[in-house]
Amino acid sequence: MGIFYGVLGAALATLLAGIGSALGVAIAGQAAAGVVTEDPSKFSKVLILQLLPGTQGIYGLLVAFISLNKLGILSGAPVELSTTEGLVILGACLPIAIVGLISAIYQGKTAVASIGIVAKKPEQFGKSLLFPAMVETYAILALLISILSIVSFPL
Amino acid sequence: MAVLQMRKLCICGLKKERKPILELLQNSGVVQINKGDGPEEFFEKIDTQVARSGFERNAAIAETALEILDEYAPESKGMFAALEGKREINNEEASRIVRNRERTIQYANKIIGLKKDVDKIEADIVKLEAKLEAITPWLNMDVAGLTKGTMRTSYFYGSLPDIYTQDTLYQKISELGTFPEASDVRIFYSDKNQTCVAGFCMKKDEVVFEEALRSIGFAKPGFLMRSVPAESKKKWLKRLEDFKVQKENIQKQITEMAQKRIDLQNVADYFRSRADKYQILGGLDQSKHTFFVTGYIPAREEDALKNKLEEKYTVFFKTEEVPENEDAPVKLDNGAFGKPVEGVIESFGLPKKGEIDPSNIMAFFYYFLFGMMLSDAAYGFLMAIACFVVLKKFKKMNPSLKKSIQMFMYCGISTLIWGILFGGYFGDAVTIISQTFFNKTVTVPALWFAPLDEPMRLLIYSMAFGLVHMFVGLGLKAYMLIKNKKYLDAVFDVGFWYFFIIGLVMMLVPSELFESISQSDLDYPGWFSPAAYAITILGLVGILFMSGRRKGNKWALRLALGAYDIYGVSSWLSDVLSYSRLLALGLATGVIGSVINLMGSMAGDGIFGAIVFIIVFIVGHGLNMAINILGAYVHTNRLQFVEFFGKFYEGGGEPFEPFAHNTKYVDLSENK
Repeated sequence: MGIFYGVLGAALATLLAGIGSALGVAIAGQAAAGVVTEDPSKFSKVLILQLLPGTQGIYGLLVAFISLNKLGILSGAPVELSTTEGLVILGACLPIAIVGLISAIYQGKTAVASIGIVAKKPEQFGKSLLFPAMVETYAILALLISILSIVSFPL
Repeated sequence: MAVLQMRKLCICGLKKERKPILELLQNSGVVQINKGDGPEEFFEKIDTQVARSGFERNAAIAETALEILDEYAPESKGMFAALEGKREINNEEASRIVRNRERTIQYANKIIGLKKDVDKIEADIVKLEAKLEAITPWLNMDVAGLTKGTMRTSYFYGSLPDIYTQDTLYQKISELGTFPEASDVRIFYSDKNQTCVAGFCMKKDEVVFEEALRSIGFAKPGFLMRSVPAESKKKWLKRLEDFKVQKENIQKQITEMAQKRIDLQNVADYFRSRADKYQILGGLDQSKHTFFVTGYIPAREEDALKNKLEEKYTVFFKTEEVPENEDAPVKLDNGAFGKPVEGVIESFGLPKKGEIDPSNIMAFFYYFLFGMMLSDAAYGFLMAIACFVVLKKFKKMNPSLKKSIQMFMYCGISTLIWGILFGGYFGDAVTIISQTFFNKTVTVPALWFAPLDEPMRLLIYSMAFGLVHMFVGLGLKAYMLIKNKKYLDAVFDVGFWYFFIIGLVMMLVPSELFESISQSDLDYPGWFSPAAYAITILGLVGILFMSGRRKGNKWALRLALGAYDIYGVSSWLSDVLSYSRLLALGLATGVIGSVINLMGSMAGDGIFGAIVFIIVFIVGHGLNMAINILGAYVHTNRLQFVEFFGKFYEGGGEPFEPFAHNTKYVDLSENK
């Protein structure tokens, strides 16, 4: 049962953070496409803004990979796990899964607003990058706790 | 680390020489000219609006012609066209542009005229196509459209709204009973919307017949037909063909005219530049025989400009310190190390009056932090090489683009160094390749330590680097205060904070919490802990009492402000934690790189395995590199803007915008 919880944790990290990023990138992408129809020369700038909410999915993947590695699934020799140990891995995956899901969506919305800045004042691109990056901070903190819990937990 | 020193400039010259003098200023491009604000009773301004709008119109004509050429004969541009920068021209070419300007504008007008012709023909084609469609239902009618009947009979044609066959139509008519005896209605076309019919009757029954037709919804066609529809169609098709040929001919003419594209670009720039000159001219104070130019000039350009002016013209040239109450425009001036990050500083805001230019110090941290976040030697190497090649190949690149590319080159070098320290080369590519294809395990050891093995250690280091970063920021604040002779402020606002924060860190380090996190087990001398308390309390009390010093003797308010300031320590905590992204992003690059390598190696060894590996490797690492460079860039900016600048820097200086050739295609300035 322990190994199931462990894998469930990895799966949740990938699933939820990935879903969040997909949603975030999607809404930012719609706004970006709108800007490009008006002014194709802003393509590279709005593309960068669109990509910003994509990182949570990667963080989820990262945590999933570390936990699968820890569980020995990747090397083909799963570790014997008690239910408690499995639940610990599951719990460790939750920060990036949940914060990743929600922060990516909101980062996407912030990115939309920043795309608005670029549309009207392209010279303020540097500042416009900061607003979505602020949201991402909390995903990074969650990622940190997930990684530290998994890596530091003795199996 | 320097903001270019500006001086206030005043030039007084003879009115008759004003145009060549302005031209000289424009060519040298080192003076920002202010709009004249001398007293109105002495000076007047001349109205240059008419001349200026003439130039602007010509520039717009050339631009429009260029746009048309781009539409019909797109320039074959390379992928890196954006990097090439403006074209340089020699004097001979320049005077040729001026000599031929009228002819070039005529040429541009001709292009615009041709485009109008094309537009007109296109509109005609659309109209004709609409007519051809409208006539389709009537094609079976082999009588000319104008036919009204014979001597004794009347002829009608039109459409009925419902669908009939000949039989159902006759039935309908007989049911109605209002149709005259000697009449007939024949269907010659029907589709799902309408039935087109022709009707005949005796001339005398005309009114009754038409009335009867109307009662079943008969309507004459909404457009006029003269001849037999089929013949009209044939004629129109022929005309359509002619139009298309005409259109092609004109388009070909336009395409041929594209050979003078460069001339048009030159002339657009020429007129744009002249319009700028006339705008400046219109803002100058002028008296009957003299004119005045006031503005700002970088101190180091002063002598050269003075010599140039006095050599040729009768002018009075004077500069002075920028007065206290005026904000001089700001231009950054840094060496090769700090220059590349000027763009980043500009995007935040140029230093305002009294602030220093943080470029050099920021540049160091920028490269440092960027490298740490990306931290893969191979990625860094590729980045540095790519930027280096671009810089070598495109020397005339637009300056701000050049700065960014230089910046990424340095960031690449830093990434290379960090990658070697952390042992990341395309993730763990060396290990995976040697295991999969050579059945040996080769690892490149990290020069320092591998982050994934000891994440806590790197976390501590990240925060320590963050603390150093912010301490340097605070130090810069002290430096600025001292430079502006506010010594006490430097002690109160910076010195006490140093004590406070350093004391807190010293208290934290020997604690169990820290030891368990860092797995360090050091022995601290006996005085360490008391010293930590002493330093912290010194800082704390200092801030508590001195933070609100501007309130003077209102102690309650003063202490409350001090206490509020102490609460600001929570922001230091969150700022330090924010540097944990150095660890998180560094790990992200390495781990995802490893995932890619692992996926590539899943096809096993052998030729097939190798091919799969190479494809996965290139695509995967390309993506990983792109997304992590983006991440490192964004988060380095954030750490600089929020954590670092937050300690000392506000920005808000006005950029220096010299009067120069503000051109799009050609580089007209003298100082290259």
